[in-house]
Parts: sequence; C-alpha cells; structure tokens
Amino acid sequence: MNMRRQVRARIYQPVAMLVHAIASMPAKNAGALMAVNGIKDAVPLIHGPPGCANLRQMNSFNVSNPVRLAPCTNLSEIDVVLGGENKLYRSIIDLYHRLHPALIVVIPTCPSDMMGDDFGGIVEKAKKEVGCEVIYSTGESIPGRPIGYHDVMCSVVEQLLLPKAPFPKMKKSVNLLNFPIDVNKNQFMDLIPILNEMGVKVNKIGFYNTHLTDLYELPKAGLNIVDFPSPWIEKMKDQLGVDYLAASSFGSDPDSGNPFGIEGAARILLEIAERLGIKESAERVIEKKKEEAMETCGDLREKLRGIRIAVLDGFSFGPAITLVTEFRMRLEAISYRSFFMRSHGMSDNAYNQLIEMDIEATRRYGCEPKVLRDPTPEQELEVFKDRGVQLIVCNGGIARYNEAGIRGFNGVNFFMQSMSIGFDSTMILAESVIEALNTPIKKYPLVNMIGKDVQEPNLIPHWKKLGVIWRTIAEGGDGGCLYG
Amino acid sequence: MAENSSHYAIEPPIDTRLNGAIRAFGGIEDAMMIVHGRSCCHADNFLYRVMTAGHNKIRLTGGGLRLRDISTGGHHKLSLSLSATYEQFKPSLIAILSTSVPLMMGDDVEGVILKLTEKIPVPIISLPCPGHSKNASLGYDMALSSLCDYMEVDGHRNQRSINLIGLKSDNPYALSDLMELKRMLKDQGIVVNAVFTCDTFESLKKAPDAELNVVLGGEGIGLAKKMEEMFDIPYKVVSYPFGLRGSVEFLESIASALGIELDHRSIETERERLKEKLERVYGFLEGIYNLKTAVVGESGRAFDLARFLNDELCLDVKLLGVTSANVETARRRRNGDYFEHFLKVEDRLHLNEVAEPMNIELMIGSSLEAVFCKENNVPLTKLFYPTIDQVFISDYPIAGFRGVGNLTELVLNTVMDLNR
Repeated sequence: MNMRRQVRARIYQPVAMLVHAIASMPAKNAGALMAVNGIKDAVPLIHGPPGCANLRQMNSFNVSNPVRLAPCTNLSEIDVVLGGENKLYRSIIDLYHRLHPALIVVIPTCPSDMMGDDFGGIVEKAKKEVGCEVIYSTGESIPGRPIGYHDVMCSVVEQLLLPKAPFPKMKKSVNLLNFPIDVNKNQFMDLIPILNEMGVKVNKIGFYNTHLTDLYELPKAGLNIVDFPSPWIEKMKDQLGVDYLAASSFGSDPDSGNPFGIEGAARILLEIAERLGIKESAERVIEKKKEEAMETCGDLREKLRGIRIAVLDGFSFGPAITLVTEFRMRLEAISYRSFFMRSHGMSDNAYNQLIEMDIEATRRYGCEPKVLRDPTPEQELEVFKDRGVQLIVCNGGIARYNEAGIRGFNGVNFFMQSMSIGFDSTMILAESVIEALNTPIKKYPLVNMIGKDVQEPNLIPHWKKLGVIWRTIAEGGDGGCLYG
Repeated sequence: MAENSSHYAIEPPIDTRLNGAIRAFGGIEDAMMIVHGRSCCHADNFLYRVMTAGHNKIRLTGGGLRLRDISTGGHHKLSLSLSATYEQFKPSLIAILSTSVPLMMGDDVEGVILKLTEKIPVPIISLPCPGHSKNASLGYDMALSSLCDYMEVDGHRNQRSINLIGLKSDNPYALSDLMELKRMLKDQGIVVNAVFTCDTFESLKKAPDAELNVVLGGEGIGLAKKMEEMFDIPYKVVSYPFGLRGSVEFLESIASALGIELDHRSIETERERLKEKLERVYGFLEGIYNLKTAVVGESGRAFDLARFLNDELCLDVKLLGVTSANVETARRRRNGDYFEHFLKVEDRLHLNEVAEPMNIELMIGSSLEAVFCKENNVPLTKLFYPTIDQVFISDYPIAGFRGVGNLTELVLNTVMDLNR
C-alpha cells in the first residue's frame, strides 16, 4: 500500500470511527459497494432513485479512498408506483455499452425492495443482450457483517460459480481471502513465501487485483483461508466443497483465536498443513521459519523486554497480546471504556463477559494488571503514572498522555493498516513500537485545548451526544445492533 | 454536444431535495435534524455533513429504521430519536426529514410530533424528502420557507438592514465569505440582520426586522417571496459576488434597492489594494491567459464564478456544468456570454464524456471531480460543494473584494504546482 494512502487513512480514521459505529451505521449498500470495488473489472448498478446513489462515492468503510463508480437506475416517483423493471433492464444494457465491464452487480435499495421488482427475471433477460456477466445481490436475508459484502459475495457463489460447477480441484492449494477494505490490502500476504516453501500453492488472493476470471478460479482451491467466518465462505464449503480456515475469532480463546505474532502465524500455518494433509513435511519448514523469526526478533525483544505498558479497550485482540507474549513487555494496566463497544449495540452481559475473558487472558500470560472500568481521564492517568507506565497502546488521543509525559502507540491504526498474519508483521510491530518509544513527547499539544468527554476522552462532547442519541435508538428499538 | 444524458444508467450529482434541506437546516446553529429513514439515508448524509461542516457542528441524527420496522411502522423509533435529540442538545428547532421508506410506509410523522409536543417544547418541522425527489435547490427553498411560520413581527424595521439568503455554510470558504460580505456592507453603512442559513434560530425569527432580503445567486428565492407576501419585505436577487466587478455590482444592487448612495471611496481603496497584489504576479497572469477551463458546481455560485474566471481572470471557460439548478438558471444561461458550452449535469458519467474531448486545462469543481481530473491529468481547484478532502478554518474569503486576490492565488497555485 502506498505511503500517501496510508497517511490519508490515518487522518480520516477518527472520522470513520464516528460515522461507522458511534453516531451512525452505514447500511448494506456500503458493504456491497466495497465488495464490487474489490473486483477490478466489475461495475455496480444501484437499482434505486438518485437519492440512494448520489452520496455513494464516499464510503464509511474506507473514507479516505472514494469509490470510483456508483451508477444507478434513476428511479422516479412514477417508477416507485409502476415498478422499475424496465429501467433496470435498460440500465444494465446501457451500462454495459458505456463502460464495458466484465461483470455488472445489481444492488437493490429500500425502494426497489419494497416495490418488489423481479431482479432475477430481469437480470436473466438482460444478460442475453450484453457481453458480460450480470448478477444481483438479494437483500437482507444474509446473516453476517458487513451485510452488503456478504450479500454480494453470496451472489457471486450462487449466480456465478454454482452454475459452472463442478470445478477441477488443485491439490494442496489455498485461497487467501479477506474483506476488501483496501487499507490493509490482504492480511495473509506475509504467509505466501512460507506456504510456497511448504509446497502449498496459493491459488487466488482476494481481494488483490482481483478480476472476474479470478473469481471463477476460486473453487479450484482445497481450502479458503479467511479472516473471519462468513456466509459466502460457508456456501463455498457446503455447495462447492471448498473447506475453510478462519484465522481470527473475535472474543474467543486468545491462544487459538489470535493469529498474530510469531506463535499465531506458526499455529495458522500448522493448521493449514494439517488440513491439507501435509503436516509432517510442513512442520519442519514452519519450525525453521519460526526459529528464524525468533532469532531475528531477538534484538527487538531485548529492546522491548520489561518496558511497562498500559492497554486501552482490550488486551487479547490487537497488537497488545503480541507485545506481551512475544516481546515480554510488562502489562501494568488495562483501561476499558464501554462506550465504543456499546455503540455497536453490545449488551451489558456480553460486554462484561468479553472483559472477563480478556482479563483472564492477561493472567494466563502471568500479568497482574490494574484493571480500570470506565475511569475518568484523571483516574486513568493517575494509575498509569503510579504503575510507571512508559507506553500506552491506545486508539488515539495520544496527546493527552504526552502531556502527562507518557508515550502512546496507536494500536488500532497499526491493526487496521499494517497488521498481517506472518512472521514479518511481528517484526514490523516491534519496530513500530520502538519508533513510538523513541518519538519525542509533544509538550504543548494544541489538540488538548479542545474539550473532551469525561467518560470517552477521544470524543468531543458534541460527538458523544450524537453517539448517545444513536445508542438510544438502537437500544430502545430492539436492543440489538443497528446494522442493515 | 449532447445537451443531456439520454442514458438509463446514470451517476447522479448531489441534487436531491433531502440534500438541499439538510444544507439549509444545517446552517442553523442551534437546530437539529433527524433523517427519518433507514440507516443508509442517515449514514450517507451524516458522512457528508462530517466532511463539509465543522466537526463540532454536525447537528444531524437518524431514525434508525430497520427491516422489521417496515412492517410495524417507524413511529416508535422516531419518538425515541426526537426525545433523545431534545434531551442531548436542547435545540431551538428540530427538523424531521422523511425519506423513501417511511413515506412509502405512510408513517404518521405529524402524529408523533403532536404526541411529543409537551415533552419537546420547541418547534418541530417535518419535510418529505424521498430519494426520488430531485433538485437540492428546491429542498433548500422548502426548508427555508418553512421557517416563515416561526418569524416574529414587532412592527419596526431596522433601516439599512438586510437579510442574506442563499449562503450555504458548508460551501468551501463560506464562513470567510460571509465575514467579507459583512465587512463590505458595513463599509457602506449596511447591517446584516439575519443570514439564511448561518445563524441562530433566534436571529432568523427576527428576519422581518430587515428592510430588504438579498438572495444570493437565486438560492432560497422561495423564502424571499414568502416573506414579501407575509411581511411585505421586498427582495433583490443578486449575483454571488465573485471578482471585482461582481463585488461592485453586489453593492450597487443592494444600495439601489435600499435607495442609498454608495461610498465610492472605499471601493477605490479596495481596487488599489487589489492592484498591488496583482502586480506581484503579473507574469503568471499573462501565462494563464485563455487557459481552457471547466467550471462544475451549483447554479447559485457556478455562473458567477465562471463569469469572473472568464471576464476578469481571462481564462477560457469552455464548459459550465451546473449540478443543481434553481429558478435563475435558465435566465442566467440565456444571458451568459462568458462560457462556451453549458451542461445541466444529470449524469456524472455523461459529464465526463462531454469534458474529456474538450482538452480541459483547469477544472474548478468539487472533490467529486477528483477522479476525472486524476485520470485525465487536469489540475483541480475545489471551490464547490462537496469538498470533502480539504478543511476551511482560516479567514480566507473567495467572494467579495478580498476574495479576488485569494481566488487568483488559488487558481495560479493549482496550475503552477511543480509537485502535481
């Protein structure tokens, strides 16, 4: 990923956080457009009025990188009454002749869903008139988040791949797949040279310069390696016989659910080998690579060993666990702020369970951190100072800690932009933390002039109020997440 | 050149009633807006609001309708949203903007408002804004006109006092423009009474105290007409004051409508200040002579900016693309001799098809022109809504007398940039 894009993603990140959870929640079309955007020669066609398409170039999944194309079928008031099937049919043909894509993905909207247009029938009819593939995403019945992404990818499986089944199989081959958010192009890239050495063929990497022809090749692999379990991957397993291995599992046992760090990467590689029936031969390669990585990280470990850290909002998911377990940094405190998690609609019970699991994980690694729950900024700083914390692994708001003489490392930014599964990523993490430790403390940050919320010091009071309103609607409505 | 896209699949410009209404209410400093609809209607508009208004001025929240609400109705969620919005912000005004889904469901928005009248003791305005309703200018007009019902008349008129209508606070450099216009008017002894919309609800309620309504570029003319009808306040449609000529004309029009003499000495001082600035870049002004330029933006500002660029800065405005039309657009188009081609943009893909063969050397537009400019290697100066990848916090007007030098600087810096 180029540096300029990475810097941009960093700048837009706080705003993305506000839009994409705290004070609003994008619906399925945002995820659907991300999926289509991940296929280089595909074009979306939003079947809806201009109001459903005219703001689509900015996408809260990736605020810093506008979507290139978001055409629509331009439904009018009359179409809402009489139906939009004719417009959809003509728009597909029109779009093909203007842009010559390899694939058109029709994305429904609320009005077209309520009108009950026959997507399947129209797409079949229009396909006969164009020289490209046309599919349509179906709507709300797909479980899983982001809903629009899964919806489009389930349509890819059902409408593109299944009709062409059966596919020839390539032995000992895998696909590496994650959500095409484009900030971190693919979390599995680091694994490729090792997989090759293990004798595993990487069939397709999604989404990385992915074209329609690549999608057709997906079922040839023996195994899908994915970031999270998802409905379209389940479909590939059930209907095309491609089993999957999910690298991450949020909220599960950190020993088996965290794929990051040297141990995590080795574990994933061993699981892949086992699934492909090459455990014995691959074990030697993995062990050798692991030893090499350990050795390479030796100097880095010495630099980080014993440095006192505090962690915000969770230990076992993100880079903090790797810093403690593999670089022997000393965890002195964890500060949990509930607002952000609850903005996602998480219940008190689920939130408390998650925290308990997280605290239990710290103990498993021999840590006895001071645990803070929704502390005031002053209480938090007092504890961090008392415990001699030198670095805070946080999600922004570093200036506040700097002013108190403590350095910060934005773990969320690192996770979003740079964290990959593999041995190299672990080294990059350590180097980034060392860089943060060597970065001069900012003595008079202007940003600290701005008033912040007492419970959530990364939010200005105005943002917090917007967040409270949004949460009230979510909780008062049905108590669940406000997706979809 | 095809006047309009005859295509079925279009990439629409930002030109919906909802967007116009959000921009109108969004400028009322103590108001709140609720986009009553599914989460995408709220989230998309919220995102643009975050990117174009101040981070501490996002006064927009949603109704949060989900699929299941379609069968049961959205009134419960709307009640929750209204109550929480009032509780958190204690706004002076709440505007409910209903989108396609609640309108198709037939949600009883007025009923919800009535039910909450005691609990929420501030005016609540409700506007239907379905996704198929085009024309942001009309939405803007409807929103502004709805404010008339709350205006207070105490019988007196402030002499030499005007209301400015059509100033959109989320336009690039808008707040600086407002300060500059107020300064220019003050130099002429004219006071700005209320600004639609970049003001508090309290100030807007006192709009009938003004002697004249000044409508910038034709945006919000519906409000001016309604106020003339209700309060007998005359109005004057003026050009958006871009350039030296535009600024002088702006003052002349207002002075004439108020029946006062202009102080020409202050105008002469401004002219002298500008002359000194231009002398410093003389060589470059010669260099950009007849630069092939496209201007793409809303009608209310695009015509006047094109006129400045063509007639005063001496660029060659090949294409004037209007993304949102208002009641003045047709007249301005007929009378305009400062652009070669005119296009009412209905389809951004079509706009690209039209602009590409023109070999444009400079684009004046918004962030939405960035992809075209990048792909065609055209320098882009962003002066129109939505500019979502720049911030505007300094005192840097592009309108009025001070704006002439700043606009010249922006254009020169864009085309001269060696790093581009």
